[in-house]
Amino acid sequence: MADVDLGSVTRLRLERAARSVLGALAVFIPVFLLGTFVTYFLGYLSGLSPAHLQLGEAATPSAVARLEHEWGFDRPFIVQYVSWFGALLKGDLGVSWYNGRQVADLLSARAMISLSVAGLALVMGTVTGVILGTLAAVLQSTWIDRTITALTSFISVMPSFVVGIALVTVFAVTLELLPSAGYVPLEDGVWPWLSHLLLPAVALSFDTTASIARQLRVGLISAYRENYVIGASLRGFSDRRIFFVHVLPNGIAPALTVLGMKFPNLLGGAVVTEAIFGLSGYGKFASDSALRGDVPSVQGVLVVSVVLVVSFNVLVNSILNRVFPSAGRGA
Amino acid sequence: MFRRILQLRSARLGLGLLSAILLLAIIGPLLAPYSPLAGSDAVLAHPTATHLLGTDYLGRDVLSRILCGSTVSVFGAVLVALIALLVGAIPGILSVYLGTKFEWLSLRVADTLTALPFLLFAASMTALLGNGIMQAMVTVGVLVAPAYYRVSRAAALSVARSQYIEAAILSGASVTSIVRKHVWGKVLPPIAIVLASTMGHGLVVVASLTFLGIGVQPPQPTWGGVLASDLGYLSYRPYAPLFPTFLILITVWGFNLIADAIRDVAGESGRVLLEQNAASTLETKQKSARRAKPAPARHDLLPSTRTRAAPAAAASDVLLSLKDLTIQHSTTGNEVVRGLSFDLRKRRVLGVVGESGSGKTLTCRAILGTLPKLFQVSRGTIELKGRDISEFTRKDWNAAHGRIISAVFQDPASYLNPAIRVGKQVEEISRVKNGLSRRLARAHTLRLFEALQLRNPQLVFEQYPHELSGGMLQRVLIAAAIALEPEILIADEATTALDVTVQAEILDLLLDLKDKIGLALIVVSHDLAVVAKLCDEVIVMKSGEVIEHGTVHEILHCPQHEYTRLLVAEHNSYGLDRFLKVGEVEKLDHAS
Repeated sequence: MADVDLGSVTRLRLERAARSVLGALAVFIPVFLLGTFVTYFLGYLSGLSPAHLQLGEAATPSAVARLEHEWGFDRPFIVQYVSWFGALLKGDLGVSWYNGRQVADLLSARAMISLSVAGLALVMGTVTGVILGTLAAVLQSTWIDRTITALTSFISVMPSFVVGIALVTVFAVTLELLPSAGYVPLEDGVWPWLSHLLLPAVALSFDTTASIARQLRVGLISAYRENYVIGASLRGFSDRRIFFVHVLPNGIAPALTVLGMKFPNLLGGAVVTEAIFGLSGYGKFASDSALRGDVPSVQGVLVVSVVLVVSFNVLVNSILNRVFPSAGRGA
Repeated sequence: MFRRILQLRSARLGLGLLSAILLLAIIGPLLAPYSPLAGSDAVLAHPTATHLLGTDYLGRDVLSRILCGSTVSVFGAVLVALIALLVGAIPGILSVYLGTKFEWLSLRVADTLTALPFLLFAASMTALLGNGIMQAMVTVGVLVAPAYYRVSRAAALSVARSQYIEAAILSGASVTSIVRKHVWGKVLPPIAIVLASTMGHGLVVVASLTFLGIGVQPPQPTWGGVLASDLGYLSYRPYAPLFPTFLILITVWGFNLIADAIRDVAGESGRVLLEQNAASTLETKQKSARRAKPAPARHDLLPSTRTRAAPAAAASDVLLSLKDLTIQHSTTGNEVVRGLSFDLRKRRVLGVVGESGSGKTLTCRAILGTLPKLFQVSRGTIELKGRDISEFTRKDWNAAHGRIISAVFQDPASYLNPAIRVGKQVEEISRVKNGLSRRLARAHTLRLFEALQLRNPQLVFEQYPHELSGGMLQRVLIAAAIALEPEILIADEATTALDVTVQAEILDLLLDLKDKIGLALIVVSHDLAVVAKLCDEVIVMKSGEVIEHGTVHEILHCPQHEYTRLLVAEHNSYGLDRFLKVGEVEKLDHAS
């Protein structure tokens, strides 16, 4: 009897794990495939070739044709795509047309800057968003709730470059508290490093803060209206236990979903914040390379950003499935 | 619909702002006092009479640059939204009609475009594809398109699935009137909302791109470009970003006001409605507990009263006593329960019968101290083990719930936390309230599950509420309710939604529990059969009043009130007995 019971319990657990993994893969493999395809197709669509970048004014038709043959640009599109995708799976992002260096190396040199800004913004946005959203939900319909709601709807419409410029004007130029631009590696000390990242991260985090706060407020308020809260209260649990064990895990689902959707914005918004704060991360690299017509470098950045987005979403999804198992029902 | 939107002050404000901006975008270049490209020696000048907003680092007049830049900035945003509408809405509608392959593919494309880092792709694509304003608008339009794809798909789906359109076709309405009445009303509001919000979003994106020098090259003026040229000289003119920022924010605000107004009128968010509904149905415990206490004396806490109340309870065995209980709706003043009195003694079962809306559930909620927000006890008292519950603090209720009084309801699934395995939820009770270790609490839970005749308790322990049937969930809920061995259990329509055999099993269990752990039960039901099976004593309620109160025998066999007679008679005529008799009559007919 005991064996049968344990067997069915294990099977139940395995089924759940398999369903959550398969569900995530079904959504994100197509996103990865299509995202990388769009990226490659973009380069093809631009009609740019290394010949124009390298030969410059000296580009004669025969010289262009020779160079394009060398790079394999006279092959059919689909052949080029397959060989590019194959290299991509091995981690080879090609060679920059601009300076002939490996794109993967160029990117890994900048990874620290971009990821620390995006990561810091993510942490700051989540923490402040959670605090504001929770306060607004617990103190629902009080002046605190109204203030927070007004604040979040205000900052959600603030474009990140406006926030960035405002921060530079106030904290760097007027108060001279923090540096206005540049980057210092972590090896030079934690505070110098952090002080250069704080303003861009704050500018980038506003959107996340606002979304998380709003979604969490809505999620918590609707969780508080659920019968299981009455149920928990009738079992004699304290307000605190009801909030942390029964309301929060259920109310957090929409905020978590939004967090997954906001991560692309954090990476994308870096284009603007890096320009304002003079950081040479992925955003700056992408816009500079694109303006130069350095197709492989642009493709490299975009592919890496797609991979980051997909991995982050798989992570968020698996957390969601863990915290909120019935969400996986439909998948 | 349009008129109703215009009645909102916010919508009028939004329209006013947008008209002003639109006017600026059209005639702005004509108003410019200087050429936007002409430099001068007066570099980085502060605002003066000749240069109202000062000059930039090349000595160009900032006001002229902003005025001339408004055309590209505003119309860029409008065009982005229109391109996105075209690119998104058509596949969105087609996805409903072109079969599953196209549907799957278009959904994946929309997913992918949404998942891409927006600005990064917009900037790279525009720059790679030729770095012109057309390229910028098309790329941004394509990247925004999934928003339109989703709303138009949802609208098309709801139209395709709605039966009232079929009904309208069958009733002979003309196609144009159907489209006008049923389709546009559903399709237009969401599209209009997305249009307004993507125009606002598009403005920000176009401004961001031009800020980066992408889409429009530097000498040509745009709002974003003006911002970018100010950025390097903040120490000279720290106020400079305010001017273009002000215009950008005003425009975005205008679009958002319009989007919100449409949403409010079309009932998309239905915010007001939702909050009213929620307030009238359910609410969190602590507020009602706070409301229900008129400043209790500090010394009157549970331990002392227990000893004081004990002799009285022992003398009469009364666990719960209601005297003249009256519950009022706080805003309308309607009395939804009037003058209800009864005593509940140990091991007794009291039935409360009546149609829905007769105040049965509100009475239970009042006894449990969880009256919904809009209701209050306006008269009378509820005494739980000799103590007036209006004096209960949150702490008193924490001590009373589960140990003295407990409850199960209809729709058991909703009373369990969907995110926690059911075993853990029952285990939590004895762990938290009795301080048992995880292992002991688990063993106790499994014993409870077994006692409630759940097959394979270990498996049930590991399952989530959505994985269990209604009957199993009700058993789990009863297990949770009796985990602390309460003295009173309220079963409010606890078996109503279950099928008949399960219902009978659950009723047997309740009776069993009454005998085993000495429970007193309050069984609320609209079903006389349930009451007859379980109860010693019955209260019949109608429109908030008790119309009959007696033993089961009295109520069933000699009902005094007309309504009770009706209930009994209905039960007789629709009950099983009647069919049995009919069957017997038929048998007799066959025999003869």
